[in-house]
Amino acid sequence: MNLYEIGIDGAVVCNQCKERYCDCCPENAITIGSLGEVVVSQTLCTLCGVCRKACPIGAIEIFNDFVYVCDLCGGRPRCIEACKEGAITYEVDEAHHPSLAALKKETKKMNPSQKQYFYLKKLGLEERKRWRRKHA
Amino acid sequence: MLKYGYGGRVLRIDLTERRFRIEPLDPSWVRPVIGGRAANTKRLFEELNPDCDPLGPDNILIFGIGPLTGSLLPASAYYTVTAKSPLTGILGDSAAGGQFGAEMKLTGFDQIIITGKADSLLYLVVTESGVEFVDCPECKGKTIIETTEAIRKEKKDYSVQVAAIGPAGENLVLFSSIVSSGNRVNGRAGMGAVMGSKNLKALAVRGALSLEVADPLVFLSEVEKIEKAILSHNEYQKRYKMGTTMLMKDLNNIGILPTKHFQEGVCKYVDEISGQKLAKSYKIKNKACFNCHLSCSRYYVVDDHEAEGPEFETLCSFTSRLGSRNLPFALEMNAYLNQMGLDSISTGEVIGWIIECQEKELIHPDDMDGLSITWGETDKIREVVEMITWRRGIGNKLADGAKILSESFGEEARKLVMHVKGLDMICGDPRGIKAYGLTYAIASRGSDHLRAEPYFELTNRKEEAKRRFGTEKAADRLAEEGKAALVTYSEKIALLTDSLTMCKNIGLCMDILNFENTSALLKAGTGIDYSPGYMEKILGDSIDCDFKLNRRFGTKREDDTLPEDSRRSHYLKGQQKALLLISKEW
Ligand code: SF4
Ligand code: SF4
Ligand code: SF4
Repeated sequence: MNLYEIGIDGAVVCNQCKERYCDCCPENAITIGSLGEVVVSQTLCTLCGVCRKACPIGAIEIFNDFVYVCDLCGGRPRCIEACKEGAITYEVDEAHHPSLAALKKETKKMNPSQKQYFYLKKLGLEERKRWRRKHA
Repeated sequence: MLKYGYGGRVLRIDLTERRFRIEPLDPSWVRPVIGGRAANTKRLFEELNPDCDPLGPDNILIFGIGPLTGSLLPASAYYTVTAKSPLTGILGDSAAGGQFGAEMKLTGFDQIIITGKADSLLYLVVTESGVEFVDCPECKGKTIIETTEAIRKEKKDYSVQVAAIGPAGENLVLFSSIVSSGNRVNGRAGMGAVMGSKNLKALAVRGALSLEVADPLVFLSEVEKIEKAILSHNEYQKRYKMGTTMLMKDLNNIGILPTKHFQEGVCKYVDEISGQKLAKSYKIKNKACFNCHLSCSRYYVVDDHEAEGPEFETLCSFTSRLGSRNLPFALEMNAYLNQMGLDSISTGEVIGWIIECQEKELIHPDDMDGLSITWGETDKIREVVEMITWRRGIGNKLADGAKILSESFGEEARKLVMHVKGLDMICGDPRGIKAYGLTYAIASRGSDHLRAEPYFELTNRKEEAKRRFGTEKAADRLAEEGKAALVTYSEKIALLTDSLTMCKNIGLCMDILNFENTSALLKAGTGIDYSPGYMEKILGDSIDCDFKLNRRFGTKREDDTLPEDSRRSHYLKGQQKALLLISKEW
């Protein structure tokens, strides 16, 4: 997703948040794996979209009758290896990362796309402060 | 039925009636053109009344993508906009990257054909199921990003991709552009004005279909080969760091960097305005089009400004070409032009031409509403650009472009306009790059490099030149020998790249695509056999179609030439003798 007005681009992926908002699946199709990854049973899933609505940052997508969420590639995330910009990290930088509990409240009335946007904007505005400092 | 790669459908929108119609795309119709730019030209050839007013309701505005647009093929997000050009009166089109093309693919439409004229300003939202017509009086005068944000917010969907016009397009500046993904420009031939004349502020796309390829495993392995070729390319690092702005120094080193409106080919202060300087002092991060491994674009911060870009053409147009050594000013102009939707080459040309004419006392300030301007006068340049955008004061005349403006002046002044067939010349002096010179002369949209981009002649690959074009001279930029063969070949690869679609930086300049690997990609992607020989033939036919169409618009053989100024024998200051050899024929 691109935030043209502030020059920020970003991909939203699951944070493996400690609150586990998505773990509210009425069909029990979602479980948490040993690495902390979200596991969706595509056989139990009925595509009701509850998990997608629950995630405060819009990290779950449903496309073509399939639930897409990061499963950490079994512990060796390929996206981290592939990204040459160093934009994805395994460890969350807690000091610079907004709390998902706060985001949950702030994004209550939003759809997943708006949540992604809101979340990226928050992260992006922090990033921009660093740019400005660098170029002051 | 087109099942793989293609969306297999065409969307027709009539703005006058506010109606749309969905048609199947017939396989036999698309097979001789592949898609993208070639398909757009074919459509124009078949359906446009050549005598129509380019700014009237009968002009046809086409957004087209190709069979592999938005696929896993790297840098495949390109789309082409085609119409009769209001600037040149002939074939007009322009390709851009970003994310728009990839999203358009998911709507399942290979072409969106727009005719008529809306009775008030509106934007269109195209999804897989059709079109929504949305009135937007509040968008009048808004910049590209403001418009894009307004639409995304309104739709509550930030994956919507928007191609919009700025104030310049609304005001029918003849060289206004369409801009998508905030900063990706369909520039040059005035497609923005065509959109403005239809009262169409923006075209937004959002699709929910998927793109299927015929043979995923083979397709993937072909894609991997292309990825490897890009990542191991000898110019990769340079292009990653500077994008096209690397050309500032490269062209200066060989004496072809337009300086003071092509009067000089070497710019003494190039280090102050180079891609290296930009990367070192102002660049913040890389930017990329959809699925691109090169990420050649950049984001910069300078004083209070920040934006994406600039590309080489904009950088050169607002530094050396106008005799300015002020890089921050060029960066400010880049942001302004992209947000207002003005083409940077034509804007630079009309201002540069006036400055040269005033320097030579061919145009008096009284004939320019009191405008008196000289090299590097940034405050005045800024003011003039604003007047062009809003067609204010003398800006109203400048907004018709240098060629049309020059018609009310004497012959000496007219001769100084750097254009072919009404399209302003890009930043690269043809006197020192013969294949480019030939390309500018014959290119079907006017003075333009992108129709062939024979970058090969700058890469010094003698053996390869002999193998491909029969003579080592094809790799010697000052030679004429072998250049016809080089340009003919490059024209086809350029068209192929625009038709798949893919980015020409990669497909063509980096010499990544050829008939063989494209044939394999197309077969695996679409399931249709496009043999290398067949492709070469149909690409040649499509190029002929460009020319036939232009004949209908009234071009003649004699128009395929270079401006007199770039053929004159007294030559650029500061260059060596070797460069003085100029073809008599051009
Ligand atoms: S998908 Fe969202 S809610 Fe679920 S663990 Fe990841 S970040 Fe938390
Ligand atoms: S690979 Fe890196 S830069 Fe590219 S989209 Fe993913 S996170 Fe962003
Ligand atoms: S090379 Fe540059 S212009 Fe081409 S697709 Fe990649 S980022 Fe876009």
